[in-house]
Amino acid sequence: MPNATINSQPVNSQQNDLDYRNSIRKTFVIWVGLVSLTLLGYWIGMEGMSGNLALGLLLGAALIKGQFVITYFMEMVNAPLKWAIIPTVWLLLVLAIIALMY
Amino acid sequence: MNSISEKKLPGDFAIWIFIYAELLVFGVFFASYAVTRSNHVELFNQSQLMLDRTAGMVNTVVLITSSWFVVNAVHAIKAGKQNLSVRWLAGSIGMGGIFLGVKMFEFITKHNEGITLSTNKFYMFYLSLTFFHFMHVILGMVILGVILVMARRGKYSATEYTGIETGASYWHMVDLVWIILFPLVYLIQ
Repeated sequence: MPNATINSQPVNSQQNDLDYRNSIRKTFVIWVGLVSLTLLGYWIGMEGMSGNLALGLLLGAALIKGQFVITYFMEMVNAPLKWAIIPTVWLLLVLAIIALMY
Repeated sequence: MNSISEKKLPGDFAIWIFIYAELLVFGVFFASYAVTRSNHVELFNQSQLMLDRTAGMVNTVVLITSSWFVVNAVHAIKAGKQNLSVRWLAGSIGMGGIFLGVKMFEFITKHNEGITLSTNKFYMFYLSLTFFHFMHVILGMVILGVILVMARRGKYSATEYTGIETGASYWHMVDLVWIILFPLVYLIQ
């Protein structure tokens, strides 16, 4: 049986196009968030800010950025929890040690 | 075919053991930096101000963008778009090249200033940490390069893309580590 078509394109192909475009849009939003937080951190650094507020903002930005990468770029959102939790625990532990030592 | 609800790690399982081991090593490195800094706060703060934070920021944006390109390469191959996947991979490797170029510029600048591993404790960490990461970027680019060649040869498709996911996962680890390294070494005072 021939594949169904819409506007001479197979339906599956059209669905793939749609999925692809949606995923690019979604990851672009994540990318904008990651770059914005990077620029925020850079601004804090260039302003010479120090102390607990600057530390909190920089580590908070790193936490959000790291978790974005883990969830959406590494696609841990689709991984079993027992494996997906490892990079998140790593991130929290490393940032906690940095915060405690400052 | 996998059902939508089935959860699995992307790519080859073996790469995840490698990734988790790498995260552990970098984690120990970061903790060592933080502990050593707590005993030499003035030295670390003053030495840190001599770093090129703009270069560090540019490289962060470059690496994040490279990671985004790799995500798009994975999504492209899943949609059966082999040519697009190859282009995204090529873009990602190109971004990796820019990262290496900027980092080389920083290394050469510091070398010309007479700074070495033995200059002080901060620079010992700065040079060894960033060089260690630099080597991981090179390894990641080699992996992406192999995947690019295989993708061009049509080895991947909408139903078989484990290789691309495997390389992508490693590349994101390299990005994730830099996301901590940048504020830790360049920004936090």
